[in-house]
Amino acid sequence: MIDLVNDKGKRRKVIGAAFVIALICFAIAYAAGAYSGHVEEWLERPFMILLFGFVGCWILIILAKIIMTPLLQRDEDYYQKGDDDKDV
Amino acid sequence: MFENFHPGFIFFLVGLFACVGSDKLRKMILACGPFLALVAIFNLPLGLEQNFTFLQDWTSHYMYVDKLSWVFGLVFCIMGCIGGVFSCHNKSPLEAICSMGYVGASICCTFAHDWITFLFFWELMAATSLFLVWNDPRPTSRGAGTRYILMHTLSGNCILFGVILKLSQGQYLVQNLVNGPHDAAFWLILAGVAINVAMVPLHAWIVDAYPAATITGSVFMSSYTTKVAVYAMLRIFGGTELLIAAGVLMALYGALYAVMENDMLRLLSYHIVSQVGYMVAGAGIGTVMSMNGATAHAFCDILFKSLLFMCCNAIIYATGVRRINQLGGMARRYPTAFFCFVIGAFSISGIPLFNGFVSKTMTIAAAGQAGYAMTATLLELASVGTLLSICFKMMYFIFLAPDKGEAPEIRPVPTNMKAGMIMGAVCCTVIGCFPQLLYQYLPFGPVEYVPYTMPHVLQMLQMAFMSVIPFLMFLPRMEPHTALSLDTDWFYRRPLKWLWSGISNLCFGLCRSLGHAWGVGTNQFMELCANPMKLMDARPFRQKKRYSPDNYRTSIADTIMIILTVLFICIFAFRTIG
Repeated sequence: MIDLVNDKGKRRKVIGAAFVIALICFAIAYAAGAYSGHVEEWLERPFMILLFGFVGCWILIILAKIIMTPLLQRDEDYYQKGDDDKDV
Repeated sequence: MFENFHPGFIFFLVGLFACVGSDKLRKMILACGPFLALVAIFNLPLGLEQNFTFLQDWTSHYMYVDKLSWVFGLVFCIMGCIGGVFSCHNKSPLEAICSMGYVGASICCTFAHDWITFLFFWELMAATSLFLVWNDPRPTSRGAGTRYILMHTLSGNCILFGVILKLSQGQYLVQNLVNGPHDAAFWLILAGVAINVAMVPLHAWIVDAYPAATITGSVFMSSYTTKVAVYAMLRIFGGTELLIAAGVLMALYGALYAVMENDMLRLLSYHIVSQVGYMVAGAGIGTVMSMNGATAHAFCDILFKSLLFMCCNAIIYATGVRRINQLGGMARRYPTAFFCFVIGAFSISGIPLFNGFVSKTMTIAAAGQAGYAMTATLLELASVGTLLSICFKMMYFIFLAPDKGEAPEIRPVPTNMKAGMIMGAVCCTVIGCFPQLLYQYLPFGPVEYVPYTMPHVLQMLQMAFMSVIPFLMFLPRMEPHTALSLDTDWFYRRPLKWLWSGISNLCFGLCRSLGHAWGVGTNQFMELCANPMKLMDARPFRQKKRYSPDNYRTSIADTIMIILTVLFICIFAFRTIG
């Protein structure tokens, strides 16, 4: 199994590989003329979807793990605590 | 054979026979019976209408087949077959009849053409699915089931009052209400459907009840209630602009909560909210392409979501562990589940060659084409959230990360459960590779959308590979921890409960005080009845003696005095008047 949490070197390699593959996909699309014509949506402009994937993922991680988690997470028995009827 | 036969009724019969049969017979009936419904639905001609006259002048239009009802009926039958195979090892007759009854009620609701029949099967769906929750022996399931039925009773009552108003206006058949008046009936029916479609903030029942259901029950539940509500949205409220914002909110809300979640089934339940958001937004946009996209996504969602539920339930069955942070290394220990989970995860994330790609992207593209650029962007952002929580987080921490050792022994999973998972995986892949198989049945007009263009495929891959980078950079903090995420159910599980307890205590105290006052009053009244002389003298009240003539006997002097006084008054009065 792959321990990417503790093995920083392996993690860096996987990050690098993902970045390279994303760039290759972009290069193929560019070479195929996907960005040459008129585009209607901003996500269809060069590099935009790459940027969107990266920034969008960060936005979600920050919102969910840094802002919402401390605000909204409680102990698992939160609803059972101090309840007379423990199974309701 | 099975020409013009209602497929929903076949499920009722399957449930009935499975309930009374022996274990071996039940297994066979559950595994094979639903396929008869699949045959029946392919034999239903478009435009078929069947009625049933009841109570002299009331006619139930229990089956009307048009393209929309047929395509939903088809996917419900397919899911019934997969679910039947997955759950046929169950020894509980109650679960067999309830699961098949639930599927039958969902199909009947889809084909119902008049409001009363629609409402009847809507309620039957809630009643049958309730027992899939209550059949689970965990103590938490009882409370979750109670909250589930309360929410669905609210939904049913909203629709009931809306239907009564519609009937009073002479509108008898289920139809699109958007072009009519936006009166109380419109809003009541919309509220009822919004509860079942899990519209934020009315969605918490899903995350509460689905993980509390039985291992096989939650697979059925993940596929029907919300999708019947999506069908109702498309048929009754297609083109309501309000739904666009609601759908986007659902898509993002579900994706964000899923990133936080630790319980596998709760995480997938949040993704039901998220994926249904795409369908609701598609219904709200109201163009041919968006409505087709919503229908296609409902079709695909049933397949990949049930597949993901089956995989996670198989892991729970094998290990007894529900929390992501206690699992790991499942790819090596349980390769069938891993293989099927990968297909389900790729499908829900919209990776090319899997069915989510051909349906989700159609809805997003429809939003862009209709001029809702922000909606399209936000739905795309929700797709990143799906990638993050299912494709990366679940896949890594459950299957690829080192084993945490919380489940040293793995219980063998029945073959039928594996067969159900493989059937789901095959359906997801086949539709993903050959989208025309699905597109030919889409009901709102010809499909001009082509998912497999090189720029489109490469764009999706670019987004997927770039979004894995932040996940890996943040990986040490991405592992979920054992906690409960507060959601909108907090309002009725805490403040409303306190309010309810407060009112109950107040009423109890009031009743007790009144009872006490009544008791005291009665005693004193009884004493007064026993001794009316107490009214004239305060002492006997304190002495609390029963009446005795000796206590009140007057002396002879008093008697003479009273007689003389009366005589004197009489003489005085006589002389004065005379």
